[in-house]
Amino acid sequence: MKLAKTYSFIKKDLNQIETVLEDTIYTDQVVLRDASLQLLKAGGKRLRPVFVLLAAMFGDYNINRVKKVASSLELIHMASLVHDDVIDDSDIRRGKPTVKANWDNQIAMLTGDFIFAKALDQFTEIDNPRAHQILAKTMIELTVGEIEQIRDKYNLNQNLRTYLRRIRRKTALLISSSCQLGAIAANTSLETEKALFRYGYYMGMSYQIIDDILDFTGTEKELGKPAGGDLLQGNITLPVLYAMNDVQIKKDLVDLFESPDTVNKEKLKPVIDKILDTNAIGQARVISDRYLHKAYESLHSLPDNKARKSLEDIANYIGNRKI
Amino acid sequence: MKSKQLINYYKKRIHKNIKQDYLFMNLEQPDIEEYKLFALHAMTSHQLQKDHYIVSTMIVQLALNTHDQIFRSFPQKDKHLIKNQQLTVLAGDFYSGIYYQLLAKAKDISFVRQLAKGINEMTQQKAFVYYQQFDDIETFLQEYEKIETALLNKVATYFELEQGIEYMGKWILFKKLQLEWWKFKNSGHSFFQDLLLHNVGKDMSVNELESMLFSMIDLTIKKIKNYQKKLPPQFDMLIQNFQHEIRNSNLLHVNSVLEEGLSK
Repeated sequence: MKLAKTYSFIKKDLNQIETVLEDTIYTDQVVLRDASLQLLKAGGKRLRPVFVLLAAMFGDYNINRVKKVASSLELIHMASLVHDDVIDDSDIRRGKPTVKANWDNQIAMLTGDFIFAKALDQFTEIDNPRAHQILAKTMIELTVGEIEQIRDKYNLNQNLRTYLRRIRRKTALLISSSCQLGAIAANTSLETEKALFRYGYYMGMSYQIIDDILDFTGTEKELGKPAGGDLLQGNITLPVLYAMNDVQIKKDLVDLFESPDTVNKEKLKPVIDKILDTNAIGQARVISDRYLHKAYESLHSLPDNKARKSLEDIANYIGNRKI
Repeated sequence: MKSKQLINYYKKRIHKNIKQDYLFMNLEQPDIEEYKLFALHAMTSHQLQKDHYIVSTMIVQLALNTHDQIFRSFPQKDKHLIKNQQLTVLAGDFYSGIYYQLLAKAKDISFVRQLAKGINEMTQQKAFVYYQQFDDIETFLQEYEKIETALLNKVATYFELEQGIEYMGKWILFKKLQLEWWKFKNSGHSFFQDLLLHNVGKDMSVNELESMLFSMIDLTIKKIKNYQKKLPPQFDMLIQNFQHEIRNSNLLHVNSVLEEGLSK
């Protein structure tokens, strides 16, 4: 089943959000307009707006209010992506040239700051201070997650806890906040809001672990970037942590990372092949499935409606996604 | 509190708010523009929550200044420099988050909106100025002034001090040019100098650039001196500061000093 099919009944509202996104980033400044539009047109799953809309359906659903939350969160996600591409020096995202590749780093920085400002301006139309406190905290945690990723690069003495804390900040919190803020925008009960937050958190954790698995199992064509790219950049993800239980793989990586400057695709290839020969991918998938299971469980207390069914289907899709 | 003490008090508060262990270990402490702090202090002098406005605005300013330090492309070989650049991107993002969190905790959503509008205007103006060739420095500085004052103007508007915006713009430019001239004399490098060299003074020698900078300080002083419109009382501090600078500064052009003597 295609992901979009799981929430086809909100398609009209998602289209409205797409229009809001385009309108919001409009500017007479040609370069910023073109760069922002390129980013917007590059697509993406729009998962965060989907979560906001579905979560809001457990309360007083008002699209005019909810769309402000949904579009702001997507814009914040976009702003972070354009800065991420500068950090990773990436020329390609989702198979298309990045802003920094089409222009340069400085334009990418300005585009990110511009989109961030537009997102905040839009979000201030939500007059609930708690919503702002949640979003602010999420943004800080997101950045701290990225800082920790740089801190932990090439560090092979990491453990499961370090990894989980990092992906919680880097990915899970923005998804859980999307669910929570959707609930707040629709004035749901606190209990419902908490259940949706937990669902988003577990989904986000599973989503990132799957992403880290696909980085090893996907092809360059599927990923839109070289396979094994995370390890090439020194990022130690869950499959690597498990694979390092194999003494030889750990030794290979220690040798390789002794001089990180010399690590390249060719030198890494045999290590990646060895990792794929272990059961590391399977073990990582077990952890991802555990989070998915917790995500399903979080929905149990919620009313059995179309939105809940969609959230279950999304969890199902994320758990089985190939890309 | 005397102005130096005040500046130090705010600097400490800002640094305390933006401290993040790993960034602190790996990056230099960000440079806080004292003259902007001073202008904010003047504008908010009648406000009960003045600390809150000054600290949050300066943190946004720091965030955007930090992102100006990113090179147009990353150095390919120098891993240490690459890491520094990566952390600089994140430092700017982190400061942006802190400004938002400070105001969200204080439930001051209208000021979040006001500063977001300032960020928006500033980034648009930067995208224009940074990628434009200017025929002369005066036109360049007219446009550059809008970058320097984008946030402060929003604060002025927020407190209904629009009448002082034009004067403050000239004052800010005067302080900025003074600072840049001082850096120049002390062989300090700056982003502003690079901009001048690349966007205005192509093929210009260092001496020519210095003299150009100097003449612009002179011109800005004249503009401030000739400013006739009535200003809100909040701007008295800026006027007094300017007069003090004129009396005590040793970098003013001879012509200005002579004219100063004539006018007495």
